[in-house]
Amino acid sequence: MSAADPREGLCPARRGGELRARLFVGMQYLLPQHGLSRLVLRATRVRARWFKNLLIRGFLKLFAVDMSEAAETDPLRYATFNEFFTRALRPGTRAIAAGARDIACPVDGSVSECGQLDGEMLLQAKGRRYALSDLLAGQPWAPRFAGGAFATIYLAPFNYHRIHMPLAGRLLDTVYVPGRLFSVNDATAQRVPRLFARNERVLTLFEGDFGQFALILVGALNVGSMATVWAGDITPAARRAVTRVAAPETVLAKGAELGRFNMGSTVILLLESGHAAWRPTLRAGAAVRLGEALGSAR
Amino acid sequence: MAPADLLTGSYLAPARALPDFSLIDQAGRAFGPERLKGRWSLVFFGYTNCPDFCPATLATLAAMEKRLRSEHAAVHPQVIFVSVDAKRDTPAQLAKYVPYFDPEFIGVTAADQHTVEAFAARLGVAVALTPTPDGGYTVDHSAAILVVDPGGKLVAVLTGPFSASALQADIQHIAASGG
Repeated sequence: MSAADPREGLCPARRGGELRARLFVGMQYLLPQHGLSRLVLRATRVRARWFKNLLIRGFLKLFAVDMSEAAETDPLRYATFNEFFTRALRPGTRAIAAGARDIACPVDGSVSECGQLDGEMLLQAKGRRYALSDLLAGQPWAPRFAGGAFATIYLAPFNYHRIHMPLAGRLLDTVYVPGRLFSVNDATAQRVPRLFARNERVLTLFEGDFGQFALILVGALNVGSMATVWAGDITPAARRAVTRVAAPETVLAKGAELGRFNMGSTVILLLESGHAAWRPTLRAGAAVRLGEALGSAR
Repeated sequence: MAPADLLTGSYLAPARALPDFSLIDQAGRAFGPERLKGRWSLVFFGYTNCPDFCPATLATLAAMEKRLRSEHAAVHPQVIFVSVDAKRDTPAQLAKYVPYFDPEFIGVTAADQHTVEAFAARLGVAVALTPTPDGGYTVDHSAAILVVDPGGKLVAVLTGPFSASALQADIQHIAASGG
């Protein structure tokens, strides 16, 4: 099999056309999403060499992974598939936009949608919108981002899977929100209403020099875990309820690691109204890299 | 900060008084704040043309009501479905749609779209209509379930994921914690 289209993730939908895309999405409603994802999580943490090497080799066959950028370039030297998947980058491979007002891209990926919120509505995909308060599970700070700026960035399975700070900030809140685990690729985003407000997610809120900003880590099918540097693994959660996660006093510099995903997923960046302008070339489908300037804060 | 121990949402701290409102139920009668007093209410916003989330949530609420009835639960909330599509969802349309899920569910609409959007906005429920190329429109809306106590105050916002058992557990938890 050839390397997958970067916008496709694990979904063969686009190649097979509309019917296959619909089947792929329809099937997800019926899948035991959490059970499957936990199975994947367990498999990805197996240390038995033959097994984890089988997984890594299979993955490298499916996806064009650029190992030359990794801190450890030999894929078989990672102790588990998960360590390979959440591998660190070699220092110096990503420059973090240095301008004081530059909003640094938090991940490697591609833009699903970006722009300004229309009041309390975010754009999910062409013609589909969803409510800010649903995304943020009714948190009291949700209205703060009405009319603000948002960028939704999809991480394909072969992308680097750590998330970094777009701006310097002091952590104000961390909330685990239970939910489904639909895939977050294009085919699914175009067909499942309110996708990002239905999937399991971790909300993080920061205060920086340009108002508050939030980074939402959205789980997806086969995303076995989501972790932050201050709380460790937040998912899989022991209890699937909206839960405020206790956190020590945390201040992170721009570009510092914030957390990581196991398997492909999505992050949503929110900034307050009047505090951010995206660069004009930032639009749906654009490939972005960690650290590049997405726009400017004010 | 109120304890975050609900399965499907969060408490509002403090509870919020509802604004005055003047809506119409599926029988064509006035539906105002007094109709939300004297018992627990679950208020859900949606529209009858919704292909996915609204019917799924109403079916889940109906399953929860069935469980409460069969268990003769002490707390038995009324379910109010507020249409955010006033133009298409006339009282007659609601009368055809809402009882299909549960004969006790109450469908509510407004004389015009502005009235229902203003009401929704006061409760933190976002609504937006988007025109489609064929001259129609789609309705996007917040899919939260609002929990109103017998005093008519908004005490919790439930955002999901919804199941009959999780909703039942949350209602009982909320009712037991005072409200």
